[in-house]
Amino acid sequence: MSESTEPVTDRNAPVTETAPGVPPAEPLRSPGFVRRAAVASWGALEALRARLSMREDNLFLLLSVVIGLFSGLAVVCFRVAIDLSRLTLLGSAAAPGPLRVILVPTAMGVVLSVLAFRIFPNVRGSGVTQTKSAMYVYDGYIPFNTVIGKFITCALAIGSGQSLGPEDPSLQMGAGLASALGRRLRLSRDKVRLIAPVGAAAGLAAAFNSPIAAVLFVIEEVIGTWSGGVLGAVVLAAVSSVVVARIFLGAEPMFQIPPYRMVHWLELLGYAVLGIVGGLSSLAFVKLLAFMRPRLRALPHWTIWVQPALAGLIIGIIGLKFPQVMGAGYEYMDQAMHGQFVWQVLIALALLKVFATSLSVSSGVPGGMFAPTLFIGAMVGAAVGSVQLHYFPGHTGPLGSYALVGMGTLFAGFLRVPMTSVFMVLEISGNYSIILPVMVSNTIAYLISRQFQPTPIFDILTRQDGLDLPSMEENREQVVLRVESAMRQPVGLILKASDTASDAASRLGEMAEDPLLVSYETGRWTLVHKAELENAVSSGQGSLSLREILPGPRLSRLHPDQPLDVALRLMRDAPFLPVVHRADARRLIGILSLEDILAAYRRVSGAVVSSAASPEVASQAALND
Amino acid sequence: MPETCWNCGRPVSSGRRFCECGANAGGGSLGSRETILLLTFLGLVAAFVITAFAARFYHDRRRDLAEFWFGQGTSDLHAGDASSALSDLQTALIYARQDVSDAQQQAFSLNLAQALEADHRLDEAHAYLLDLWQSTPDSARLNLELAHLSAAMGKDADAQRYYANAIYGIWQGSPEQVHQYQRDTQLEFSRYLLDHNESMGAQSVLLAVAASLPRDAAMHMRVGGMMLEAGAPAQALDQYQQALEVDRRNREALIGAGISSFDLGNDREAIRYLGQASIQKAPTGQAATLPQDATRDLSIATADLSLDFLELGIGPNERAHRAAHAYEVAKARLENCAKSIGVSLPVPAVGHVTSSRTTALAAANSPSPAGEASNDGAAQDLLSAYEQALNMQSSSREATLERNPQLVDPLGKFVFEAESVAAAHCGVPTSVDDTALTRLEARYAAQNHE
Repeated sequence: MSESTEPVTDRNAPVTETAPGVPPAEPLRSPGFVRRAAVASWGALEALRARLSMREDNLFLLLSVVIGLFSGLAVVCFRVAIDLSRLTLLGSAAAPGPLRVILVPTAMGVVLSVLAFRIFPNVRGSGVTQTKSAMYVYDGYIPFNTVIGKFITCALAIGSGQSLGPEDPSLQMGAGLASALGRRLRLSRDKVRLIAPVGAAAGLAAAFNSPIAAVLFVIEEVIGTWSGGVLGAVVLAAVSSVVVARIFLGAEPMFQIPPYRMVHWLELLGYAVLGIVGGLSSLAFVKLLAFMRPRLRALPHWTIWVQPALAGLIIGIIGLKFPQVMGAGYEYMDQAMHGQFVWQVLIALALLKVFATSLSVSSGVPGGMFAPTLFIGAMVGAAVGSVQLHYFPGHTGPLGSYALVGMGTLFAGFLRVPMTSVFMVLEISGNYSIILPVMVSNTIAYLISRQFQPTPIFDILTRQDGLDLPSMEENREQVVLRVESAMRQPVGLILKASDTASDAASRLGEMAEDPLLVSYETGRWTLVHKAELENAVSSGQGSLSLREILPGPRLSRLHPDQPLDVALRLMRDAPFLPVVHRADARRLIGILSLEDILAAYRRVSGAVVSSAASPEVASQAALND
Repeated sequence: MPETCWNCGRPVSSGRRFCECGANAGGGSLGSRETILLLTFLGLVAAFVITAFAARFYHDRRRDLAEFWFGQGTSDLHAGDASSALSDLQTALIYARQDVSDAQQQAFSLNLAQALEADHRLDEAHAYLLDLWQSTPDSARLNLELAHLSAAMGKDADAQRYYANAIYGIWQGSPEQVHQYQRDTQLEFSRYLLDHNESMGAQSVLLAVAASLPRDAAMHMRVGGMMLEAGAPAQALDQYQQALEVDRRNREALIGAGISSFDLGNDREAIRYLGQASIQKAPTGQAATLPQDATRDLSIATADLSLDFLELGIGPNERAHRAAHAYEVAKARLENCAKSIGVSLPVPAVGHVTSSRTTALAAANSPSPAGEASNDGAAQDLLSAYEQALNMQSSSREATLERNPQLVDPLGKFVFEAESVAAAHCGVPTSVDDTALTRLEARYAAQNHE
């Protein structure tokens, strides 16, 4: 703790500094050159420290940029490490020798199990669910050794041929760096919790070389809200990391396909077919992963030491015939886009990749699912495009477009991030003319996946891990209750502020309600109790207007379209609030009380339990009850 | 963990990361927030430096690997191992992205397409190149490769289109290199057109090539040879003459010029060129004698001259000699023709055979009823011509013609008519004399027509 800071009660107040520090207490007898230099340096340092002193909000934004830079550098080093690992373990040939293909993933599986289960126990999984759990369960705390462990284990896993990708780990590494920096800089609990997704966006943006998609993914899947404060930080971090990544890795799009142009409007039907096929493929992928993972985990505990090795062995056997299935597979996506595989091989690669990735993930090998998802999508897309090209050559565009759209389709169907999938395709290809087919195909795949698999994959994984994290998709689909669904019609007399007290009191006998609403010409509203009116009359103020008698605070106004959450914040101690028209605040539409709000929520809860869309939701509701 | 919170000063339980006021209780042992921020910036600088070295190592390594695998692939391709070449070049392309120049990357891609083609995966090669083409449609090398592929796939129209694109596309290199690439492409395109019997198209391309040829005998001869193939002997002769201006003793150019002159009907020039060629020493590896077609052309030209009794500038004795020779050749042509189609001609006797006897003999030798109608016509014509030959026999002697030069014209007329009859019923002659006679008749018929 710095001896110069004063205790401050406000958690967001800046940390104050005293004047720049003074030299040591003992008097100087004869200051020499060295001592003068030391004094000058210390003074400069203290001056710099004073300049760096700032409010936490400003520090948060500055930190976002720094986190972006660090994350970008980390991702660049990660990419280099994966490449080096691959070259060392499997050699530089695209199709390594058979002995290497079998032995390397198996042997590295043993190494990975030691690293993942003994030395770095928090590195298992892709990284997305782990980041979410850090944010919602551990106040944004991610140990720094997780970052190091993730770096090492994922570089070895992907480099040795496990069917995994680098993007999700990059997301977690970015979040870990951000968490470490945030804690070191003594940010408040709220800010440390929020800084993790900032780092996550930075890591993902650098890995994908696509800032918009990364920001959207973090908002869609990790944070779940569009609040202005965190959005700015996320964007800053993502942009900073991408700038760094492009400096060192180049600014070229990940894939180069010819500019898309629609050959014939009927081609959209082809992309619709791709959406259906992609939706079914993503469904199969989710089902297999959801089936395999808990069953492997249910095996005796000692098997965790051999599961990664066995997964490596099986993937190696597959790799003897189909080396494309090993690793992330970006180079083979490029080949698929250039029509270098026949459709039968494309289908085989897609199916094998689904199996291999499910195996790698389920066996506990650290690594991501984004790249395999893109790989499967590229193969499926190219296969659909090949078949269409064969039967409808005049109505089918280049294969590369189908492969590219296929990537987005699987992304939407498997990861259930529709907005992210659209922008991701646009950014990684640099080809904005393809947006229409992307939207058609992605939407269809998303709807199919949602229809037959209500729980998204990330929620499945977290629930299998025993965590109860908020589901962003379920949150998005929750009905937002608004004032109009809870308010009731106003009954009784509505008084005007220009009415006299005696006039108002004379009409009191008719009214059972208390207090009564009073309307002002300006559109403001207030309440008056019967006792107040009677007192005013009895004290000789009967001729005064209600405006003169009631100097109290005006009531907050509500509008029908506002969420009930807003109404709750505005309610305070008022028995009810007026609901007025937005174009004419004097026009009363209804009134809303706290009881009305609670009744509305109870009605919705009862409807959800009685017609549960999925067993998971019903059980969740039962738990809540 | 410190025991008191730096923010509010309240005690913090051990193991808690956050104080009740929400402040992060653990501030680490590095001091104030500002110090940590300062150290962070310093760390950022260090991280940049480390990353720069790592990235440089990464890019250098990938570039080296790309070049290594490209070399391997090219060697395999030249050695005929298409399958290995394909694998190597695909590997090279994996490492080539972002780490080699665009021109190199295109070279990798083109070699890959060649490997696909060599591996008989024409459809894949075509799809691959077409994909590249849609990104760089003006790349001349790419268009040329597509032309090769389309030709191999039998897509003639596409091949021609891509060849044309390649000629006028963008080539990489110095202006001289670009000019040479264009010229080579034009010649290749011409060869393709000639192989597909599109002579007129080939002529157009060759004319464009000829307009910008350097002063190079070999190049002129090459173009000249293709011009000849395309049926443009005048342009071919021009090219061979330009070659001779560079090297007047060039045997091949002399032969080419001779053949071109022969095709143009200029026998004297043909004899001159071919005669010169025959006395030139043949290059190593070539036969000392003239090629068969040149020898035949020379013989025919020589024979042609010996028959050309209408040539301007010759003396009356020479004219009589040639006319007599021409008569003998024409007569022999009729006899050979009649023999080849089974028509018996009357035996020439002292005086001449009467028409009735000729007719009786012809009837006795008439062929079977199946070919009776046509053979009758041929026999009639041949007999009629032969009768005329026999009637003119006495006036065909050289001595007679020398004394009576006015007899040359009717004799000449007979010679041409006899040739026409023989050509109509027996087709193109094979012997040198007959061929010479045919050429002579055709030449003067063309002149009379003009």
